[in-house]
Amino acid sequence: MEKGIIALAAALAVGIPAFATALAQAKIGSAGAGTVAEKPETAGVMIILEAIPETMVILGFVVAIMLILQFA
Amino acid sequence: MIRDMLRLAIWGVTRRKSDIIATLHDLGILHLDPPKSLDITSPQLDRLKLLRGKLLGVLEALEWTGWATLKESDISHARYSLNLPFDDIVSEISHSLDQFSNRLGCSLNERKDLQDLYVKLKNAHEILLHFHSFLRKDISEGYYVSLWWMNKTDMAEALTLIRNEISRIAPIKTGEYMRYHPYIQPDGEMLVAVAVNEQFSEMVSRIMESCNGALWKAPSGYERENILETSDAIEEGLNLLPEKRRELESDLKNTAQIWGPKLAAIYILADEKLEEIFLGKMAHSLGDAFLIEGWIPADELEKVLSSLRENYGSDVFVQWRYPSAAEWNDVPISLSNSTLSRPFELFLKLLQPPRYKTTDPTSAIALFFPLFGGCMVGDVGYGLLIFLLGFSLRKRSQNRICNDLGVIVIFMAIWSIAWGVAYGEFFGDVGHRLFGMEPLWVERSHAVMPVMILTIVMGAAHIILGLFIGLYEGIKTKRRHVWMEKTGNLCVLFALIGALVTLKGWLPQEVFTIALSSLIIGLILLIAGGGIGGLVESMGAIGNILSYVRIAAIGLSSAILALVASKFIDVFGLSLLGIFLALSVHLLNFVLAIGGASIHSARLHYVEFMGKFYSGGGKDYKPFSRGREFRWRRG
Repeated sequence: MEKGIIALAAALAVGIPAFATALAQAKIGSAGAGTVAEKPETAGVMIILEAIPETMVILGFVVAIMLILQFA
Repeated sequence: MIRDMLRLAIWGVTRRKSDIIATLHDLGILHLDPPKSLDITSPQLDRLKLLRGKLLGVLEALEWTGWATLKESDISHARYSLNLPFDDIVSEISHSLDQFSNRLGCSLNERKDLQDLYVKLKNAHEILLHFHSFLRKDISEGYYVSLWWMNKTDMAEALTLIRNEISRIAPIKTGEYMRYHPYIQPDGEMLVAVAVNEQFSEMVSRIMESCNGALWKAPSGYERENILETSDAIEEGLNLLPEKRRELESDLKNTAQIWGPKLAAIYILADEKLEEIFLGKMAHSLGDAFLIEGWIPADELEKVLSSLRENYGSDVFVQWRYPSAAEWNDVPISLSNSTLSRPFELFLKLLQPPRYKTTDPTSAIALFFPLFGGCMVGDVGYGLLIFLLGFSLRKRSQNRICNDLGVIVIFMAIWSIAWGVAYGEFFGDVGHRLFGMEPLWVERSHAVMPVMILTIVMGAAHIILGLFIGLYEGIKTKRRHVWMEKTGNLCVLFALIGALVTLKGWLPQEVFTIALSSLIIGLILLIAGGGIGGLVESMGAIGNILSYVRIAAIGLSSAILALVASKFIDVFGLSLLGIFLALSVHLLNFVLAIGGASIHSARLHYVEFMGKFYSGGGKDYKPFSRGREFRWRRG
């Protein structure tokens, strides 16, 4: 039971930031696509901007790993 | 690193102005300030612009797109061949070009006519094909057949009238004959074929025309005695036309191949000449002398001086000086890096160039980008594949950007192999299964924490390096808030590291006191340098270090995907399906590994590392040179 709750907590620690990241990336992606259509030379910068919100998932991943390693 | 630049002032005698400008053009070193006003006009400029426009028009009409394949030798040859006085050469080329355009226009018109005729014949052929059996039967029996465009409603009326008229003229049944066949085309238009005795042909024409009918006619030149013969002529035409078109296309293609590079070379020469005239107009005129000012890299000074001295002796006088601090924002930026790190200058192409007297991060990128990327991939097998990819990019492509990309990929591949050895991975656990490969350090799919800690340590080192560079720049440019903020950040980071290490028991307890002092000093400096914003930035620096955990996270996902590929072989055995699924997962993992590793490694540099010191805002160094490599390579 306890292990199950820890696993759920770890899943939420990754899942919620992943959802938030997806929302942010969707907005950046659509804005980026518009920008690249008008200025193709910004493609590189847009790819980088698209990767920025992923930090949230990375931090979520750290929390999940800590949970699993400490308590499971 | 950013090259030192010099402000150069070239004084010369006016009578040698065009020669001196041509020499500067040949040297291709002087960067000119952008003109303050662009409306410089002269008859010479206008003639050249017109010639350039004509050349471009002819090249487009020729459908020549070989800019990327144009060789420097083509341009040199044209330059050598056209060594005549300017006015003569422009009028001569313009005259020849007009004649060439006329001939080309004739050929292009002929091609268009052939295309149009082919379409017309094709349409006529389709129509006649529909009526073929009708025409063959009635014409062979000696009846008169005509085709008419009509409305559906008018057709019924016209046919009734014809039938009545035939009954009236020939009441006796013998010899009375009328047959028709309608055809509705896909676009809704309607054609009707009417066959009658020869004696009624005029009557049919009269009635059809009175009912708004229009006689169908074969394309011009293909009309014959009767429609059947017309059909044969059209069919023959359809067989012959493609051959004619092919011949004409081949002629045009040959013309484009022969004349395209020559005309393009003349276009580039005209462009260069235009620049020279433009520079001549921009130069300050001082009676019998003129003055041209610009920027050159300091290490090229001797080359410029010796060239001008050799060619013009005392007719030219050169002054130079280093830019003052007030001018730093106007100085063009030219980077100079070692052969190994130069390809990494590509990363700065996505940003504005660095400002003069700031730090060029290329060397640091050359060291850390492949290190981080390789750590994410961390597989000997994938590393070898990436190496092959980089090698083929370098070998096959003539493009400089692709070449640089090839070098970057090769560097990443080398680090991927090195990390792969450390993790003991060769296409996941295939190396272990086949050759008993063991990790030199840890197996990252099982030991997550050591890899995570290592990535945080690498991140801390990277961020601290960025902060040190920022501190150095703050001191150099005498910006108090910058160096105080960077020092404060460094103190806070060192305090946290010191506290952590002490708590772990790796260092004596006294270090904790030093760390606490460092934290207090750091916080004071942060508030003094950037106020509350400074404190927020220090939190950002800690977040930035944690962001490097992505190296471990992406690496872990890559390692697990590679293991999943092997699992397919375990489940399905060495069957076709098992091998196919395993290869598919490896392919997916390989693509993700390259894409993910590159993007995230680049992001760590752009956001986390360069965010600590890089501000951009510099100007690109664009020397006044002949045939600038990318300027005339229009896609």
